[in-house]
Amino acid sequence: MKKKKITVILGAILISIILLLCVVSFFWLPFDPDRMDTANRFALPSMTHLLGTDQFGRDVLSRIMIASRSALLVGLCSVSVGALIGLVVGAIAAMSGPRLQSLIMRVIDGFMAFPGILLAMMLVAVLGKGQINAVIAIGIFMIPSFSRLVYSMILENKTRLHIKAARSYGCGPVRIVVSHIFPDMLPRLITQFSSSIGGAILTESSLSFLGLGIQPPSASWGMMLSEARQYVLSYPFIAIAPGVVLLVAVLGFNLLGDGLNDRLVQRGGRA
Amino acid sequence: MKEIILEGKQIVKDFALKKEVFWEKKKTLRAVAGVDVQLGRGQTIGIVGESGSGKSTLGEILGGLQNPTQGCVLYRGVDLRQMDRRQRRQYRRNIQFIFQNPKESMNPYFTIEKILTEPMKLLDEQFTPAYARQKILDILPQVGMEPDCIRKYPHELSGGQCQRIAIARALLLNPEVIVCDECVSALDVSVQAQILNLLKSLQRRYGTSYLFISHDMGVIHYMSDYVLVMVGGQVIEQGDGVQVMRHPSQAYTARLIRSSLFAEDSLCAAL
Repeated sequence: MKKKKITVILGAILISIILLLCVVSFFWLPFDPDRMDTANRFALPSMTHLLGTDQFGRDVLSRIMIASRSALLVGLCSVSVGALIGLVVGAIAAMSGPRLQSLIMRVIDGFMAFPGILLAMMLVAVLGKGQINAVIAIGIFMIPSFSRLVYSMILENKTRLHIKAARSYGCGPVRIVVSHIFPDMLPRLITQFSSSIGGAILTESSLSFLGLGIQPPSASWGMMLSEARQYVLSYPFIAIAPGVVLLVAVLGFNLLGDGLNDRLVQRGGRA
Repeated sequence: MKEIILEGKQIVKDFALKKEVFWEKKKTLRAVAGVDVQLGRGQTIGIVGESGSGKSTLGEILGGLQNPTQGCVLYRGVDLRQMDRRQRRQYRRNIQFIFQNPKESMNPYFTIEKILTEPMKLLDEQFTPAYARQKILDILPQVGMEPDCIRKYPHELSGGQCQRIAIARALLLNPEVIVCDECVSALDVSVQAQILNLLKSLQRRYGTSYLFISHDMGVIHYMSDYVLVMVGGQVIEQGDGVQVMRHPSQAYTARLIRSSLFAEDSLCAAL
């Protein structure tokens, strides 16, 4: 039990670091993240530039802080979109007749068999580059896991006696899902939500790394990594900093998700 | 002849069984094989049989929770399948259920007040929060509960108390028929007697009809005017309650009576 608690706390600490970077960026930045200082290229960390400067002499810390905004925004929005649509799709599948049910679930299986990043790239190719399209692409990529989760949980709950009782006094399918089954699903949904944000941030970084996500001159961790790639042998530091921040963010959300899973879901007993 | 409220004509219900190898023919289990029932106003029909005899399925078909494979259910002479929205609602309101396990028949996240209010919200045209509250406060003493229990959750009440709440929930809609599906099997013998007596006195007051489903011949004998004995989905014996009990024409019925004599004795002792 003790160990599980530590997982949640560690996850929360890592996430707070990222949140702190993000919040502070609205009030104060060490330097203008877009200001180039050609005299000061590839500077090593020092008191003026805490994390050094990149190939154009831009302050790396400032860029990481600015990029944390879009990472969190894209992560949160895309998972919300995915969770919401996944919830509705999963619920429709679980509450409908056997034909529609298997049709929806086979389509979802098809989506799941597709590598996520490939799907996201395909969508960006169709929709065009940019932050909002990245949110849509990653959101769609999040739908299958949520709808499968919701689907299986509704099926599991549907046969319980209080649901039968609710049907006997005229509860329709929507009301049954929303007010009778949803409270039971909530812990697992929260867990899934938290773990998915980690995945979404990673996918956003991958898209930006490939130049399909957030576009310059805006900053993104993935893009910073991609730019640093050419100089990684001579100036490894400009790649390490955004890499570590990305690691901290993804690890934080995954740890929090795992920890919450142990604490909320596997406790077993109901209220 | 009494006014017939609920009638089942030649009801058949098949369940598809899972095939063990895919080239097998479709297998079905006939849970109910052509049963006729007529339930009059203020009457109690007891359906008795072992587990798997199709008695609960029959109850759920008559209560509209499942559709029969063949045959039809008539409510006040109208076929369920031909009802319009308003009639359907009327039917839903007038047929209520009390299930075997009282705790599981209530949503564990709802307070007793919410559990009791929900059916009225859905089916009672006169519903307002104040009206519902007044009705709940009126009904609770009648089922032997204190009014302050409405703030509690189901897990805070005992099995017998929960069953009283379940009875209150059914009664709040002033139904014509209550389907009692093994409604005392999960309770202690002394509590069983209290609940059965409560149901009887409520029947005298409101003229409700009961469809009383149980495997216990003693309970059936105590409650019913008319008894159906079911084996393997078929009615093998039916008739006046006292008649069937005293002079069973089938060896199976005699065996059922003998097997529950102990339960009957202890029940009678408790009454």
